[in-house]
Amino acid sequence: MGNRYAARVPLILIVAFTVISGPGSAQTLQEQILEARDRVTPALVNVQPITDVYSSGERRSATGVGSGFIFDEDGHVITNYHVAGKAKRLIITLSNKQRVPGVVVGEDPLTDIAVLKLELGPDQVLPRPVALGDSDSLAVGEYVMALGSPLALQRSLSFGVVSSKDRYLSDTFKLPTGEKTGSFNTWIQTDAAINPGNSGGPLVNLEGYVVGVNARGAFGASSIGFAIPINIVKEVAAELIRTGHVSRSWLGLTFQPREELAQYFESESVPGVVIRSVEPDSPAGRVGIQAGDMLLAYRGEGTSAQFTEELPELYKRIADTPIGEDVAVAVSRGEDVLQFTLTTEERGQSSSDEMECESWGFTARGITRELALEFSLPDSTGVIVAGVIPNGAGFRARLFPGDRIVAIEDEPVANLDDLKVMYRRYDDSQKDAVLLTVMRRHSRRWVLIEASYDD
Amino acid sequence: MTTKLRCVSSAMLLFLVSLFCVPFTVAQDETARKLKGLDERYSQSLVQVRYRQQVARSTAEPPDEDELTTTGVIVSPQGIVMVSAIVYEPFNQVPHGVGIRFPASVNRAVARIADARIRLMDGTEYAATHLGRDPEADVAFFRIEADDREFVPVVFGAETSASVGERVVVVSLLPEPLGPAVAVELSRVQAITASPQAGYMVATGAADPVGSLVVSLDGELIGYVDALTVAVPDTRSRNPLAFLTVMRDLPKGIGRGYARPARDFVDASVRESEAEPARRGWLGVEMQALSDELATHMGLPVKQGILLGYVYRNSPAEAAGLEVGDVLVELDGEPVDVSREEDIGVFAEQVLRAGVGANLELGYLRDGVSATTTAYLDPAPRSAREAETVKADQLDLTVREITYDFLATRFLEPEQKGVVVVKPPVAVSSNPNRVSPGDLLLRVDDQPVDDLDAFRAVVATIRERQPDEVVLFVERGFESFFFAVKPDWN
Repeated sequence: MGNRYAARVPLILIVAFTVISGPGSAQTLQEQILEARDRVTPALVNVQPITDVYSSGERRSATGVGSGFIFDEDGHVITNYHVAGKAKRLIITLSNKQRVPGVVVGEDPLTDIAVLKLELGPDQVLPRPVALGDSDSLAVGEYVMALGSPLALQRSLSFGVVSSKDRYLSDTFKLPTGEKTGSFNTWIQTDAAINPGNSGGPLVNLEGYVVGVNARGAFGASSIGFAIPINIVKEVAAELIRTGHVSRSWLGLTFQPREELAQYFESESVPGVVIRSVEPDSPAGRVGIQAGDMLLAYRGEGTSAQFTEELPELYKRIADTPIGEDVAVAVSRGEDVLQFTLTTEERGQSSSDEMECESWGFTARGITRELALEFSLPDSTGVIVAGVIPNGAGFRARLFPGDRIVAIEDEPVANLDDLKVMYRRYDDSQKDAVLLTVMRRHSRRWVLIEASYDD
Repeated sequence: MTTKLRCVSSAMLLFLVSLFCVPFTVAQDETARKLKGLDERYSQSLVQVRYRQQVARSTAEPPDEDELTTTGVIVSPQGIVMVSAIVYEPFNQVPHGVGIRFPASVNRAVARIADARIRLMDGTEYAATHLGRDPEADVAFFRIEADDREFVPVVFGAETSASVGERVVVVSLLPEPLGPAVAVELSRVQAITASPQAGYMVATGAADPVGSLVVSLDGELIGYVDALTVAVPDTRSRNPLAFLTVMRDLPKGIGRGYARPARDFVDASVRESEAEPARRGWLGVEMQALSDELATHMGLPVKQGILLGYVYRNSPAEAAGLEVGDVLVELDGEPVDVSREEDIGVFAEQVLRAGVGANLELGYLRDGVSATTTAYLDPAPRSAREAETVKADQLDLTVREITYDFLATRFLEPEQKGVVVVKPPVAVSSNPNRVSPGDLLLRVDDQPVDDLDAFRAVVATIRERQPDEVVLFVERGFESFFFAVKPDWN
C-alpha cells in the first residue's frame, strides 16, 4: 500500500506544475516563484526587539523574534506592532547576515503596524527595498508566498494561495500586549504557512510585489494565517514616518451588523447601520444620538452594513475624517429621520505604558478606555497597580493588583506621567513612608508604604 | 436505622407510576369536583427550598458541602417556610443515587445550613434566612427575604383527625427536572401508628416526598409527610444484596409515606410566624482600620478608629452626613477600639446587633476636627448575593434585581433602571458580543425592562406571542449592544 502512494506523489506534483504555467505565460510557476523570491529576499530582515516586560511587580528585559522588510530608500522597515512596539533596543539582521541597530519610528496598535529605521554604519549599504503592490486587486485563489523567520528560522519561504481577502476578525480581538486591534481593516487569509516569528514579514504575490504583512496564525489550526492588507499598511506607514503616530477621529459610536437583527429592525432591505452603543461623553452622545438608531448617512454619503466584514470600512471612514471637523450625520429612529452635526475629536491612546516603582515594590500601568471598561471604572483618572512583588513594600502595606492609585500624599495622580514624576521625586528624597490613596473598586483606601531603598 | 427520603428521582418515579395506577374512573363524581383546584390552591404555598449543607466532620479539614433541595410549605403571610428537620442531617449519597438519612449519632456530625434560596411555583425565587430548628415539632424554619410581598400560607388545623380507610389527597411538589409542579394524588389513610408518637398516618402506598401535605377531601390540611420508608442498598455491608429498610423508630415498611397529624405543627408554625424578626441593622459604609502609623502619618489627633472608604447612597450613614475620609472614633460614647483590619468585625457586629431602628451616636473626625452625628439604622438591603432572581426558561436567561452594591461597584446612580444578567443565554451565532453575567439588561425587544416586575411582564407577553426571535439590549460599562435570542417553545 505504502509503496503505491509513494510512487504517485511525484507524479501529482509534476502534473500540477505543468498545468499552472498558464497559456500565454512563458514562465513556469517554479520560475515565477524563484523570481519573486529574488525580488524580495534582499529587503527581508529579522527583527530582535529587546523589551521591558512586567510581571509580579517587577520589570525584566525580554527578547523576541519577528520579521520585517525594508520598503524605502531611507531604510525604513515595516513590521508588526506586536513584534517591535515599545522596544527599548532593536537588533536587525539583514539578509546578508549583517547586524544593524535600529530605532522605532512609530507604532500603531490598532492596525498592528510599526515602522523602524535602520541605522546603517558608514560602510554598510542599504539593500534594495521591496516594491509594494495593491492588495485590493488580489483575488481569492491567487498564489502568494510568505517570507520571514518562523520560529527564528531566518529567510524561510512558504507558499500557498489567498484563501479569503475580506476576513473580519472580531473587534473584540486583542493583541498579546492587551490592545484592541483590527477595527479598521479586514484581513487576507492564506494557507501559506504562517508561524510564530513570521509576524511582520511580507506576503508576496507571484510578481514579487508585497501585498500584505503577515501578522498571525490560528491556534489549533493549520494552513490558516492572516496578513494585514498592504494598502492600509501604506497609509499607516506614511503617517508614522511623517508624524510618529496615527491620529484618528472619534465620535463615540460603535456599530453592529444587521444580519442577526434584521427582524428587530425590520431592515432586511433598507440601508443603514445599527448603532450599537453611544458613549455619553462623546461627540455623538452630546448631540443625542442613541443606541438603536440607524446610521443612514455620514458626511452626505450613504452607509450600510449587513455583515460584520462591512464594518471596518465604516470605522475607517470615520477615523479618516479630519479631527475637529463638523460632519453631517443622518440617523433614523423609528419612523423619523434625524439630522445631526457633530464635531469629530481625536481618538485617545489605545495602548498604555507600564512602569516599575522599584522601592515601593510594584508596577503600575496607565489607564486606557479599554482598561477602564475592563475594570468597570467611571473614567481613566489615575494609574492601575499591575503587579505587586511578594513580600515587597507594597505587599506589606496591603496594596493589591487592580488598585487604582489616585493620589500620593494628597497630590492627585491623573496619569502615568504624573506617577513617573512623583515617584522620581520621592525616590530621590528617600522618604521613608509614603501615603498612597487608592480606589479599590468603589471604595477609597489609604495605603502607607514603608519604602525600601537600595543603596 | 432510620431514613427520610428527600426528593429523589427513584422515589419520584414510583410516585409517578402510582399516579397512573390510581383508577380515575370517578371523573364525573363529587370527589373529582372536590379535587379540582386543589393543586392551584396549594401551589401558592408549596415551595422548593435550595440550600447548601455544610458538614464539618473534623476541625482539621474544611467542611463538606453539598447543594440540596427539599420541599417547604409557607406558614405565614410574611413568608415563614417550614421544612422537615431532614435538612440538618448529613446527606449521604449512595451508589444508586438514593439519598438516605442517618441520624446524627451515626455520623457524629450536624450539618449547617447556608445560602438558602426559595422558589415559588410562579417562578419567582428569593434568598431565604435560616431561622433554626424547632425541637418540639422537629422541623426547620426559613424566612423568605421579600419585604414587599404577601404570601399565601397553609393553616394547620388543630382539631383535625383522620381515621383508617378515610380518603385523603396527598399534595406534593414534583422537583426539577420533572417539575416544579404540584401533584395531587387520591389516597387512603392506610394505618394509624402508635410509635413514635401516636397518630402517625401511613398515608399512601407510594413514597411521597418529605414535605408533602395530606389534605382531607374538603381541602383541609390534616397531615404533613415527615418520613418515609424505602429500601436502599446497604453500603456498609460487603454483601451487595444487603438492603436496609431505613426509617426512624417506625415499623418496617417499603416505599410508604408517613405523615404526622397537622396538630403537631400548629404551635411551632404559629410561634415562628409571630416572632418579631430581628433584622440586621445597616449603616452603609466601607471601612478601613486606622493604624497608629497611619494616624501619625496623617497627623490625626487619635491613634485608632475607622476610616470611611465609601458611603453608600441612600444609606443611614449618608443621611447622618458622614463622608468618605471621615474617621469614626466613638460609638455611643465608647471609643472605637479598632487599629487592625481584624478588629473591624467587632464594630460591624455592634452595628448588626443594634438592629433595625436603633439610633447610633457616632463621634468622628473630619479634617482633624471632632464632630458627632446620629445614624438611624435601616434594615440591610439585599446584596447582589442575596438578590431576588427571575428565570425565563424559554429565553435561557436568568436575571436579578439591581442591588445597592451593584450600583456602587459599577459607579451607577441610584435611579439606574434595568436588571442584572445572572445566567446569560447561550450564543447561537457568530456575534462576537456575548451577553455575560453582570451585564445590565435594559430592553427586551421594544420593551424597557426597568426592574424585575417589568421583566416578568415582558416575559409573560413573550410567552403569549411565542415569537421566533427576541432581541436583548444590554449595557456593559460605557458600551452596549443588541443580542438576538431564539426562544425555545418546546
